[in-house]
Amino acid sequence: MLLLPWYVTGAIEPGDRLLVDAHLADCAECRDELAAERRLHGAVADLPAPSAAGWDRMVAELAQPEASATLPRSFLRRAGWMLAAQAAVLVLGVGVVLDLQRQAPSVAGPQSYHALGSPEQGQAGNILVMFAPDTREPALRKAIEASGARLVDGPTAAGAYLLAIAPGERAAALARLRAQAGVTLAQPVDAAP
Amino acid sequence: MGLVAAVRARDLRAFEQLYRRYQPRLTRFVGTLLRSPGLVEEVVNDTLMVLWQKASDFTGASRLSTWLFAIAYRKAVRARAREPLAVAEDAAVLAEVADDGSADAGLSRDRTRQALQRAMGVLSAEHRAVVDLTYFHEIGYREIAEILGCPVDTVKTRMFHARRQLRRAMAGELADWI
Repeated sequence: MLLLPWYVTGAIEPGDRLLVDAHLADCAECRDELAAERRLHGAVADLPAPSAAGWDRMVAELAQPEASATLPRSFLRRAGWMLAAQAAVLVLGVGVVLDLQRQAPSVAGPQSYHALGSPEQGQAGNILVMFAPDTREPALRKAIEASGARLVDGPTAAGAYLLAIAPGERAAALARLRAQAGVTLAQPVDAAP
Repeated sequence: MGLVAAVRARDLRAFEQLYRRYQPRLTRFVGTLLRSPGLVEEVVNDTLMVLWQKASDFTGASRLSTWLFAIAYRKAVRARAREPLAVAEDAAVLAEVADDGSADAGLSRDRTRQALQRAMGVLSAEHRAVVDLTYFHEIGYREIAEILGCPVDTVKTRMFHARRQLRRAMAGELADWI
């Protein structure tokens, strides 16, 4: 009975199911087969699956430029996922940071000034944010400014930005970002252990 | 199609939902074709990258799961050439170790599981894939044929031979499996 396995799981076409039903009514041997088949189905379905790194780990890894040397062969290295072309992104990110600060120094106050080469430039971000594809630059800038967080990296190859803010203020900043038009994702990220 | 349409519009949250839904299933499926965990992870991530980057290639003619499994299958077949031989040998050694341990293991469920894992390990990758697609993923023969790119009758006969082989192997170990 070639169709028995799918008769057992139910993934069988109605016409084929009728065929099997009719055959089973007449054939004691196949009825025994069916019982064994059910055990085999249960045992195979019960086999443990290999574990795999999840989304959270991936997002955390994506947000850690310094950790790139230890990244697994995954999205990052092969497909140039979010942090592909890191060098270019970093240069661009620094440029954007400087640009934002030049254009809106008064919003976040003097403490948010970071000259090129100050230690904070290398600070790891702790918020990942993405915008709808049609978001214009002024809206993007307004959203980041309103969050109170500082842009430390991006746009990455996938169009994500990495922001940094004091841990205690992160939840509030995330809420502010999510309230902004055009923000499709605002997610906390933490340094990989 | 709602989530796929959102992925097409570069909605990362929609992608995350689909990723979470399919990554475990794809990992299990690719794990029946490749032994190296690193390669499995690579193939699964590459497959889901196709969804992120080329969601517009998905026309809806088949189910999303069928489309993804088919991509994963093709990538796994190509990756098999890069599978390090040492890994297969390690796996064989591990299977032997598990064999020794099973005599002491009291639980029959564990014994059954180990015996079945060894029996599955002896099957060809193609047969193992059909067994897992049928019994774990509970996919129908027509869709399995689509995923593996082979005729439906081939799926049925592969399954027939695989289960005969499995049950023969199991019967040798456990009387109640006959």
